[in-house]
Amino acid sequence: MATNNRTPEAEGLEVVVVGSFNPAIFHPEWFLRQKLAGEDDVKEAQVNVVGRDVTDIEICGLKVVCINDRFSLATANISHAAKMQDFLLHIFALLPHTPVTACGINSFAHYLIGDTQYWNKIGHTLVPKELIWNGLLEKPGMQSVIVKGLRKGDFPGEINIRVEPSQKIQPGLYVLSNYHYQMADAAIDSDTTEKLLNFLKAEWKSALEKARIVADEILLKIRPDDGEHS
Amino acid sequence: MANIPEISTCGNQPRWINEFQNDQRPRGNAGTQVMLRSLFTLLIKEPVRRDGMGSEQESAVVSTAAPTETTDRITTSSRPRSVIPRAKRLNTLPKGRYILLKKYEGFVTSRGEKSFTARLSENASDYPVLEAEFDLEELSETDRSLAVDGAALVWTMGYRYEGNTRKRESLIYLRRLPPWKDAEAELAKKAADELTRDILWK
Repeated sequence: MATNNRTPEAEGLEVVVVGSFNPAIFHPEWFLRQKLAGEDDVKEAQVNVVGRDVTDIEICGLKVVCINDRFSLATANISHAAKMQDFLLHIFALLPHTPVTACGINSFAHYLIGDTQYWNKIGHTLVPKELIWNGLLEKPGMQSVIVKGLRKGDFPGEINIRVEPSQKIQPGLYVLSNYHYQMADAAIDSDTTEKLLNFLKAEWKSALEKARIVADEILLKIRPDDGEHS
Repeated sequence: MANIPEISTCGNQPRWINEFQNDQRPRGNAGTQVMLRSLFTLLIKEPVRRDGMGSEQESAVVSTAAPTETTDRITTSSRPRSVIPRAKRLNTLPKGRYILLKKYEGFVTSRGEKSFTARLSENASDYPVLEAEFDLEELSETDRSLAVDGAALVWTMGYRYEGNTRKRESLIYLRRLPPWKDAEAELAKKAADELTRDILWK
């Protein structure tokens, strides 16, 4: 079977946790005290805001943004993915009574599609224009497609895949995978952080690879026409 | 593209105004996708320096991590307090671009005075695994004390972009996993025992 294992031109990861948080604690010094970061990391950390309502810092190559109902950790450097998992497991092990209602592991990748015709073909295949759009719009083009699927297993939930033209690489393809895990109401379930930790351990690898797997499949199944360069 | 309505609260609370760009738009009901508020503007009330006044007003809403003379001092001025909102953009995704070429994960098998050896693989099912010796100098000073037998580590190679410059980068770091709980250790021991029992030694 032909394979199409391309290397993404850019790749990143973001984990979003929805719940109830105290943004003020996420100061670089706190990460140092919890032995998640070294002294040099703290010296080099970029602090934009740390306060009661919002925290926005960058430490160890990770961007930490926290507002009262949302905590996110993100990186545009996928080599820091394991570090991000360590941070998350530590943070929520240290804050076991944090009410958490949902979590999403979002991996994304940008691919270079060398040829504009092939790039258009991908869009036309994912969203055919003949049946509806050609009659309604002048030169309709695919801007975004979201496909939702179910995830089974110990942590059932949704997998949302978003495919768009890349804004970073042109002409390029952008694929985002969202592993969404909805927990029970935090008010009636006291073990939400425990569930979150287990979810982050169990689904991490699969969530990380999903954007690549989807992109590989798209680029394998939708082939350039003869004479086009992929 | 539908923007999330501006969330505005009164008093000293921040106001959020959305300015979505590129691939950071809000998406329907997928509440944890990147990101409902992935790029937003926060209006904070900044301290105002009044020339000739000799002191500044305190910051009313958001204090910065490194206290400055403007935020950690409460003014004694008898003039009415005035705070001027200033827009500050928050973005949950950091800038930058990285192309990952190779990634190995593994653990330290032995440590010497100046070097350590690690067993590494790209996938858990890889066989044979890679054995590599690294100088301790390859690790940051703070990571060196973590390089003990059994410590998990990651080795990646890729291209990092700094503006238009592309740099080949090799990155080695020790993982800082939380300590195992007794129940987890027990479970792992049980799994190892079962695996050992199931191997048909010849």
